[in-house]
Amino acid sequence: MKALFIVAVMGAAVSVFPAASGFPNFVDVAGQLGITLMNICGGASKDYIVEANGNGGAFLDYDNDSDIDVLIVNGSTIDRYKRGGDPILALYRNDGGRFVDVTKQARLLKNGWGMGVCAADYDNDGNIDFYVTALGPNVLFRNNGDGTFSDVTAKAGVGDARWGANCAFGDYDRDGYVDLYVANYLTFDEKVPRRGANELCRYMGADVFCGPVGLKGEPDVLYHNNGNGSFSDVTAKAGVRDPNYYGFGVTFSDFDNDGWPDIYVANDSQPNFLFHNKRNGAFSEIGLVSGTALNEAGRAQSGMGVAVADYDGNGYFDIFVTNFARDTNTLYRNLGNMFFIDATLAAGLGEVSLPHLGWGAGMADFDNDGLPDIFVANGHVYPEVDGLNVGQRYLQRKEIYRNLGGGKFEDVARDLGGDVVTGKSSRGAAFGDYDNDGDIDVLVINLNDRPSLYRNDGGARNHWIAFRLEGSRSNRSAVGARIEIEAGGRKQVSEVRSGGSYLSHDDMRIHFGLGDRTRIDRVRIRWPNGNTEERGPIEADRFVTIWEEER
Amino acid sequence: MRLSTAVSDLNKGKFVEGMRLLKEIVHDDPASAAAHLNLAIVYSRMGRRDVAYRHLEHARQAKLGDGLYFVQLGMLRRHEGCRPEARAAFRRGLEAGAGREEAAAWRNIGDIEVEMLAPEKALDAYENAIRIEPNDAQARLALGRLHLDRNDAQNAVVQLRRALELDPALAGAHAALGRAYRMLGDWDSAIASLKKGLDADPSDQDSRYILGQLLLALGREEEGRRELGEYSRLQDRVLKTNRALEAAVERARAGQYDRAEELLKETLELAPRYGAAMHIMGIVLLSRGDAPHALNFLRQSLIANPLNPETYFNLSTAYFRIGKHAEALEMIERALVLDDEDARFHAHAGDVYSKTNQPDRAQASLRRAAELRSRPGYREPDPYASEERRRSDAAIVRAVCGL
Repeated sequence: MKALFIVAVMGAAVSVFPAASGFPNFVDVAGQLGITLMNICGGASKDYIVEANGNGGAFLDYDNDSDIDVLIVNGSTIDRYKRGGDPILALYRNDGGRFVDVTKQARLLKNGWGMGVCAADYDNDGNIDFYVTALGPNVLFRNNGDGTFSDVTAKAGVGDARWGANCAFGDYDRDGYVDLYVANYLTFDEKVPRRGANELCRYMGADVFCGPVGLKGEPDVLYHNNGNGSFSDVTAKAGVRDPNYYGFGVTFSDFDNDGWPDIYVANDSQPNFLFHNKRNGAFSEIGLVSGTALNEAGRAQSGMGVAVADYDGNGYFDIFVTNFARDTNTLYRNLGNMFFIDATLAAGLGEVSLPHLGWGAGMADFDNDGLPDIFVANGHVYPEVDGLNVGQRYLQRKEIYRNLGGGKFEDVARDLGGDVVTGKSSRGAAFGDYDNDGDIDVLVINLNDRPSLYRNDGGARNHWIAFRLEGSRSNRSAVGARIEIEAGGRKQVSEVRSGGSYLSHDDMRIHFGLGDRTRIDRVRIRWPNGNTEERGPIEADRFVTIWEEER
Repeated sequence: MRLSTAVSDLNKGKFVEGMRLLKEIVHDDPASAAAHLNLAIVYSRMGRRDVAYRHLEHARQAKLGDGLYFVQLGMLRRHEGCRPEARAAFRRGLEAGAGREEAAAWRNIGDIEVEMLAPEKALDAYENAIRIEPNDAQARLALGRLHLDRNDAQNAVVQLRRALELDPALAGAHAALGRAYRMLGDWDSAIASLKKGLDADPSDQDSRYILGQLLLALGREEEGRRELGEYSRLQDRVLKTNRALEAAVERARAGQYDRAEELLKETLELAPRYGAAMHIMGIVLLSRGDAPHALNFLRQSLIANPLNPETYFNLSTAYFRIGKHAEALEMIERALVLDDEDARFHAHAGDVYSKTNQPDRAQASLRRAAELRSRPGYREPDPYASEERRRSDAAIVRAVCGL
């Protein structure tokens, strides 16, 4: 058995400016810290749907130096894509709080039209790898462990040529290797009509790009990791039946707490999927009976991003889905036994979200009070809305919902003001503690704009603890591990996940806010292979690395 | 007298007869504001907004009051999706005095405010509509739904119950009331309302879904799964129906009529009373030279949509091919009542008039066809497009349910 290794990071490195509301402020420091990549995603007029869906990014520690680096996926333009496209990746190494563009050194120079990213150590060699979805073949990059990556797509057999949106790694069969789910969007080819071409290409009286409705959806794909560097397409065998819905957000999560990861997929303009893991290598789709396919009125929404957390403290992971404007985002409250209710209105998340078109989302405890809050990156798809005078804008503010407890949230973004209310057409959002100060920061990819890195100022006024898990018998990234802490009689639960949000990937360290608690009494980990172990007590305000026991 | 007969015909669903009379009236008396206004309303319903605008302008020139003019203009602008313009038109109509259309104008303003994300203004507008016309079930339904969306189930129940008292078959009201009771935790009333909704309309998928979810939440697993199973079955059929019909139209446009017919048969097996599919099947059969069977499908498709001139045109063609010239004449004249700007209709009318020994009319029709075809930018209409525009999942569910 390896020893429990604790890395203490006491004291915040940055200034703390508590917000008047008591909620932390978010300050966009991307430019200041060197993250300056201009997003390319079509032209300004958005003649085709591919120009509006944007890109994602990731927080991942590619060099194993205990701080998270930033990876950004980029798109292209219709004309340039025909000639091979633009560079799809930018990797920024975190050098003590400043970011240095190491794309070239990392051998990540690849052209095309990138979309999103998910990461995990697929070959269990101790270095995090990542998968990039694209318009055109997706790409798997293997981390060589020396600061460089290799394109291993062909060898791995995961170069799906369809238009990929979100992806997520998860070990659905618990064989110790992470598998891969890719949500595919639609067929984008020369037959897709141009903006305003027919009646389906109109929005509130204006000519807009066509789709997704009226265009042919593409089915999702599930790859099984063979453990030898290759994957097999097991979509049909595993019962992942997708009737060509427009797939967007996806995440693996163990919703019924049986130790086997399930899969949730947010579909655009179609019912969402919940694939229940049958523990035999197959899934059954239970979106409808679980209450997670539609909203409470029985309507399919335009699912974009997905966030998962136990917001009500009942020990089960709830689901938050971002949707189109003039519709609410949806909070599905998990009652256990694979049954959810739409708690959006009751939680106070209904009317306030109507003007916003949501994409990336995270449920994280930004103020470290022990309750997961919600952050939503917004931005309209139609530049034309600005001229319509219909209560919607193209550039939109963020929504930040503080968890008040008792199942209620309140939007605090407007009160916070500052950078989060600056209008952007935002898409992907990734969540993590880039400055290791104990609170959760947010990376947001903005359409045709530079990215934002929202530094959380004030979250660490409360105590916190974060865990990095490393599997041995389980997959090395510990994707799927469930971690439960108890502090002062209060339990919190989280899970190691890959992918999620919208086209993005979060810091895989698991963070808990502790309020005024200075230590946790115990931590219980259920590793992806089902083994459990317990530790504690552990002092607060530190990062803790736990290796899976080799038994 | 003729005007009231025309309006009566329209209200009875005898659209062609009503429109024919209205057209005769405006022909004899171009200053008949009421006839032009009614034509504008019908053409608006048909989706022919260009023609509707023309009649509305004629009505205005014929001294239609500003109130009615602007209310109808608001309707047209709303159908086009131009919400701020529609709202402005309704407001001008109200300022000018919209008479008995006042409540409808306020209701429309309420709907627009909801769509424009101004719920407080919507609330005021609906309340105005109800103050003017307390028996406006639609306004009460809209207000009830707005309360629901604002998490105010108490007030939602009040409005929705009243709406259903006024119109027990009001589409969507039972589902909304079920949601409101569920929010209040009154499970029994919620279940009763949703079941009533399904009794009144077995194709009410919203009620079925909400009922299924509610039963599951209450632990009534078997009943809940049964409802959701039925919901799922219907949705699955809708999906398959849509796909089969889309594929059929694609094949038909490519001239692959055999495959198109197979796909349409598949569609109609899934949704036996689906008007759009019957209409397209009629055209495909006609294209394959099977006029007798085409007639059968086209006649049935008229039940679903009696306002489609394309159907009458195809019916006329089918009758013509089997030598029933009198019937062909009646049908092409009906098509021309609904749309006298389609060159194909006039060309075919020319053939029919020739066969029925009306050479002058035949020549006039052929001249008119040639004139229309010579207009700059003229393009032969796509025969499949007319019903494609009208397709909706709700219509398919009703067709699947045999309603």
